[in-house]
Amino acid sequence: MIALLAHPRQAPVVRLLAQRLPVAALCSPWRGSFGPLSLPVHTHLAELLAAHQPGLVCFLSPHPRLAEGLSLCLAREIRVLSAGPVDGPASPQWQWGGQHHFSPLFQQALAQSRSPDFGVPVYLRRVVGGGGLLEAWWAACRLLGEAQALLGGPPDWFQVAAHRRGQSHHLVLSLSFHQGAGAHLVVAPSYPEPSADLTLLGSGGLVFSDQGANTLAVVSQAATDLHAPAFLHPEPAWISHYLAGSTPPLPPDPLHLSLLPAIRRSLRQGVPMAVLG
Amino acid sequence: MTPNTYGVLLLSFSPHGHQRNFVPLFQRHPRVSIVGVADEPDIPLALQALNRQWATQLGVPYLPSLDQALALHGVEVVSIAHQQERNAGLALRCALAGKHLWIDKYIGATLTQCDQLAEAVRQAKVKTILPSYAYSQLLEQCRQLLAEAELGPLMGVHVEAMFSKGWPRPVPSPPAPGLEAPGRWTYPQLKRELLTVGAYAAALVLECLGPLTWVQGRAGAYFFSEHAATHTDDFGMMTLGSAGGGLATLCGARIGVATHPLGGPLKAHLVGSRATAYVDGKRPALDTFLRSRITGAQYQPPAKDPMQWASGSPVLGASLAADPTGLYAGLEDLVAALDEDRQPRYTVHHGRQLIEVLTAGYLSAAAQGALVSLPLEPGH
Repeated sequence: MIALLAHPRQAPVVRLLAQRLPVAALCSPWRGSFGPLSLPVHTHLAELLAAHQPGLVCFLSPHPRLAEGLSLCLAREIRVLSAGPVDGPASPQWQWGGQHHFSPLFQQALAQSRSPDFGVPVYLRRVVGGGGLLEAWWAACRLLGEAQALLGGPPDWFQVAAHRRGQSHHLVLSLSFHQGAGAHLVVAPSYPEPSADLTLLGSGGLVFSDQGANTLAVVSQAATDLHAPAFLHPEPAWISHYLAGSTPPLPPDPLHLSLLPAIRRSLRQGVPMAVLG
Repeated sequence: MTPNTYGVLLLSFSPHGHQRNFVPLFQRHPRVSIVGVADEPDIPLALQALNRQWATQLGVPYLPSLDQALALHGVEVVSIAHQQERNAGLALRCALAGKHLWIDKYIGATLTQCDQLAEAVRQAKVKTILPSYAYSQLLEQCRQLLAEAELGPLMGVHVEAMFSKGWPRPVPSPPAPGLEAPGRWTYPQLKRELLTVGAYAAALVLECLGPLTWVQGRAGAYFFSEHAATHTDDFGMMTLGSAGGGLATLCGARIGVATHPLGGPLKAHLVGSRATAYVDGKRPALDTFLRSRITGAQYQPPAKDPMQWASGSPVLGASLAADPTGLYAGLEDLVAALDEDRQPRYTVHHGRQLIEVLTAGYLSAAAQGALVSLPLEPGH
């Protein structure tokens, strides 16, 4: 059985996972509603572990005490799959990241970029949503993984600029890669999840996806609500693949951990900070 | 009483400028009349011939000397569309002669030139407008969202602008190191595209975020052998920061014909603390997929215009906006400004700020993305 740890902002993907996978319970230490959801919800991970004894815990949202939660799971020999980095001990029992490999948008962009017609990569622009500091950091890590795969990483120049208003954090990652390609990876406090906004420029042409054109819209007299088509969420396939254990675990990317202190420095100093280069 | 008609002198049809695009606007506007075509005596013969051809076509005199042209009866406004290195000097002489200025895209090649012109304009008390930036549909739609949508305080602006024009030929990959420093902008066969295309994006960033305090840039040749051979840029990207902490990114590029259904992406994201807005400057548009147009499209750029400075690329749609570039709105603003004795919305002072930001972007790009602080030290 699977347990999820998620922020209420992740409600759509939590509901999707509850439909598709054997999810036993949800832990959410944050305030807020997940809407219609037939899962037991706990505010403390220890409580959830004691009550449901899951075989896998998926961290879908970051939390300041996630390292503690990780240690708790590992001590009980419960596997952990995390959507972003956690500063915890290396162990074959857990891993983070890699969900972009199961995103149809990423898969198609990668396939197109491998066509000889695409030429060599020139530029990638992505805009996604984040929220608070840790959420924005995790979103940036996801983008970094995508960029390295699409542009032939690792980067040889990598800067981060950060700005905050209250709890809303805005990040800009500027990168260049050894073949000369550049990237702007933008994390906004609010953006539809998963973001369908991608521009990938090659010397042979342009591969792009617009958020507006790839979103379901519900129009009422009061408002227009946008919804992502369910199959664009990578999480069900990402978790299933991990459970199947058909490939060795992904090695952690050290750039992910060095990104957070660079973000904090940029917030303090008001200028971009080098993460690399 | 019949309102005044303002006489416009067309100063150069340089292929690097957009005078040819301005002619239909001047012809269409009921308060404007074209009274002459002029240029300097030391220009290439081909440009002299082109200027004469336009003068003949428009039925106005061609004056191969600016001094002579400024003395021509009825000249109230001079439309300056020369190569960038000449614009400031020409504009300065026109301002000193008391003429109002319609300037194509760039007021000068260096900040020193820009400052001299800005000061001359201040003293001469003439009206100035750079019509290319402040009136486009992209900017109008951004303004609408900033005014109406509940984005919260603006935290960032992210713009991509690319022209699907020209016929790329293979260049070395990765791009050859070394980028020509800012200041030399004009080449017979190419334009520097972070400047040419990125200027639209930078103007939007400046309007939304206000004064900028730092810039980082990267640029190079990725598409055209002409750019690779001269260490100039057909693609560039910039990251920028404002005094208030706002962040911006932009890219500007010429990426080759037939790479986008509407002639190249022109998009902006406005990031607020509460919401993010997305604007496609090429829309609203009517998508058109007409078989014979697609199968019979002429995708090869004209031999005389290989970079398509004067020709459009084939598109699969039609803008629903009557004035997507906003050039006519700019002309209306100028006429109203002359009537009301005020300055238009986008003047040489804005143009000077724009050149400063772009120059900083090039300085950074030439130093592999080093942080460049704004304002720049004098002397650039």
